[in-house]
Amino acid sequence: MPVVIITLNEEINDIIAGIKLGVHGYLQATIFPEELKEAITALTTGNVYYFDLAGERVIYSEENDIRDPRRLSAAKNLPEPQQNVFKLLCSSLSYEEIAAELQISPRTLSGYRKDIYSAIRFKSRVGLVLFAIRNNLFDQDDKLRSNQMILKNV
Amino acid sequence: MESKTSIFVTGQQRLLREGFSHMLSWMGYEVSGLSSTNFSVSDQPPSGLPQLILIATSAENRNEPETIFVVTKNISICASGHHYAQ
Repeated sequence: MPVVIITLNEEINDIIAGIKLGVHGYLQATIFPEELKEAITALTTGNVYYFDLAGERVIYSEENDIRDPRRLSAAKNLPEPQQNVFKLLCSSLSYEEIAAELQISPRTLSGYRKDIYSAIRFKSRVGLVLFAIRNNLFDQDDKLRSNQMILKNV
Repeated sequence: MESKTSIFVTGQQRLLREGFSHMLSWMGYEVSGLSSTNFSVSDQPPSGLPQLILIATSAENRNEPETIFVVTKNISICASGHHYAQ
């Protein structure tokens, strides 16, 4: 049963928290009826994730996007610096905080991000986080994992 | 629409919740909701599991993960014929 957030708030931290919990999408509160209808149709007829944020509407398919073996292979073969950035992109840290954490410049971080997006073929941080979480690429805390397990059975 | 898609609308942001409930009813969906008032939205849980759950959040309350989890779990519980676990 898909769970979707309607929000006035597009803070990436909150979106990441929702994705980690297992929500299937985010819709802007200002969404038009036709777009809402399209989102509901997508969400109730297939295993998809739907994000309508910051003027960008994206639909991710569980089979074609999230479980894509080529993307998985690309993610696992990222060089270590990019792996470290990828992991922190899935946290609540801002780009500035990620750069500080890894002791790299914002410009270097930007370059690593481009490498990651290009290799895994997602255009947004939301897509990357969704991909990483659904494939359990990085460790998550036990409580979150427990909540996700329960939600899976809803 | 052959059979109406069942949507459960909930969340702490009352205006969003009620606005979307209104719009979805107008669009022909079967709408139910938790803690909502007035309009065509029932406070009763759906007779079966809804096909979609919408949670309205605001910048103030954010979509705090625990809240989403509790709400979703409660919907599951009451859709199974039990009472809400507040």
